[in-house]
Amino acid sequence: MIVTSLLCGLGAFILFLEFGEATGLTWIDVFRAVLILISTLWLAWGATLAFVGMTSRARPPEGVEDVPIRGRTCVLMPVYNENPEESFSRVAAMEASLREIGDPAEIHFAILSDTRDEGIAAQERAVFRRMVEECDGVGRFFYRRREKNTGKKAGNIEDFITRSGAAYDYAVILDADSLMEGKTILTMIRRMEAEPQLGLLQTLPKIIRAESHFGRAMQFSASFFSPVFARGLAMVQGRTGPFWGHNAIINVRAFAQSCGLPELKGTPPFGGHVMSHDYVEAALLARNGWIVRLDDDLEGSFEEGPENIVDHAKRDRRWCQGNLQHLRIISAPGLKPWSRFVFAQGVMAFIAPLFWMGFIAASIAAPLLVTPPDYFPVPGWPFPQFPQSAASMAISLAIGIFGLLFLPKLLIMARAILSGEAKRFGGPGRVFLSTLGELLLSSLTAPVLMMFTIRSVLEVLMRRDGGWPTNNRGDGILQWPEAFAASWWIIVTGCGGLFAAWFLTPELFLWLLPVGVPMILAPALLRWGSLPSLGKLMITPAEQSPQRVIQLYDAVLARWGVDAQSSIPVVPLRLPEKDGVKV
Amino acid sequence: MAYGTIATDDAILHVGASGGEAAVPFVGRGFPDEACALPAAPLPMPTQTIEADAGLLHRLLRRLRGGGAVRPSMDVGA
Repeated sequence: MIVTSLLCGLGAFILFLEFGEATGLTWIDVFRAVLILISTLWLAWGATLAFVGMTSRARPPEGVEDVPIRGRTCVLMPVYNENPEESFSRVAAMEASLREIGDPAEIHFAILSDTRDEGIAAQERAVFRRMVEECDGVGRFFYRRREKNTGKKAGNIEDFITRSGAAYDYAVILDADSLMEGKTILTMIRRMEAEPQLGLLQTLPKIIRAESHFGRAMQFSASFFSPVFARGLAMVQGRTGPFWGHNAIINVRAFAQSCGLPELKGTPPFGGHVMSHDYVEAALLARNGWIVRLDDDLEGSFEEGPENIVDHAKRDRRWCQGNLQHLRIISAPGLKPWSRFVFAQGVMAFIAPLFWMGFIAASIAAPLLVTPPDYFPVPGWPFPQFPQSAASMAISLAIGIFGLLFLPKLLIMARAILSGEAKRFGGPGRVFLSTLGELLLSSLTAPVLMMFTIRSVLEVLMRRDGGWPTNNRGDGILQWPEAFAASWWIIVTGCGGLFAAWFLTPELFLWLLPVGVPMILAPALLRWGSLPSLGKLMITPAEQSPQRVIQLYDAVLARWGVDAQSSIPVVPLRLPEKDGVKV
Repeated sequence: MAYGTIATDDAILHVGASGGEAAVPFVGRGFPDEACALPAAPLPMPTQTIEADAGLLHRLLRRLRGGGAVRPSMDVGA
């Protein structure tokens, strides 16, 4: 896979050097060739993951269904200023799902609160009490709120382990929006029981309950394309697999032995608490000889995603800082080579857009630096030699990018149609149109997301917070002023780039339109992406026939009177009071 | 950390509808906070070494000079 990616990158590199030689090789030609080498290498890596995923099948461990469950398990839900009714109703649904199948493991549940808002904390306690009584959960449900959220989520989990970890053999780690089938949780425990060297088992969560155009596209992609990429990743990573921070189960003692995270020397963004702790914890488990594995065959694992591009970009901003911080950890002593590669991969995910932008900017600026072409390069030869045009270079680049970006998804679609799997996604016709729709939407949003990522990287490097606008509505819809405030600078950049291209490299102007036009239309894309989708495309299996735990979740929300659309209680919670103070 | 005592007769009422189904009023029986406190079962979680003690160049030079025995790379004191 690495060789294939290198060959693709080198191919693009040599192609560009050849173009440059036609007009006389300059330093800017070499610079662009290096940028295209790195960018193509990165794209090729993703494409080869997909090809590996398409040509392999998950092999679930055999004979695990009857493994007796002897260990004790606690499901952990760390929360931080979340809507308590939404979060805790997921816990109640998972408990009900386990109860329906008898819960042979007698699983406990712990809400680990780092909530800073006193009003929300009071609601947490009230909703928790209701949940415990409805589930008859005294002795099985626990609630803890930390006075200080030292170390954020990693510190929250560490606090649980150092306080109560010896009482459990396994812990299922969730996010506040995680939802898992009881059967899936039991299968994960059995797999841990069957393999004592398994330190962590990660599932592939599917996005559910998306309503907006952008959210549904992400949801479809997570259900339809991601499993193939994840299969490729699982094949490649083997025993040094990923941890994504949630929808995973850990061996508590292994985690305690291996994953105590220090504060890095210096100040943020590169010092201080480890932000993207999950990747580091996976690396530390592997360092200590534990198996970390992605079991992508496991269904029944769900999460919810951002409903608009701005919320997606805000989340990415956090991940960007966390991943760039891994530059400090990549040379940690004793790490497995693959762990170091994963850190590098995570850094590359965020700096790749910088290479693309650098390539585009250098291509636009090249005429300012290129020497006039020599039409008679061979002394004494009377016939002129005309240099290759920039358009032919752009055509070659477009074909290469099409191949690396679009081809894997088109092949996944073809495989789903031919194998019959398309039925789970609404049938071959819907799958065809959904795939085209997803490709179109991702092509339109890619330049906008590229700009947000570049901004995140620059903010991290300059230690600045850019003042991301807040979304005041609970439904994720961006109003026009919000969309414009979030993206006016993208419009300016897009206009500037196209303007410069028009005057400096007219040949490239048309080829830059697929990048420049979406940038100029950024507010419209943000707004439209956040609007509820009324179409019938991008159906997922979880929508066609919702799994039992999703039905139970809806039932709990209805019983608690929560409007699932807006996440706002239909009537505000009336909290008990003591001496005039809400308790 | 005490969050207050929950009186046994307090009622928490949700009234309204979601998707055509009526929400169920809830009347709490109450239980002491201590029943839902995390069990006390401490497990040590030693801090790991994840930073090199010297920069890349220094380590490279140290290796080239053949300096010293290999140091343990992790804290496994648990």
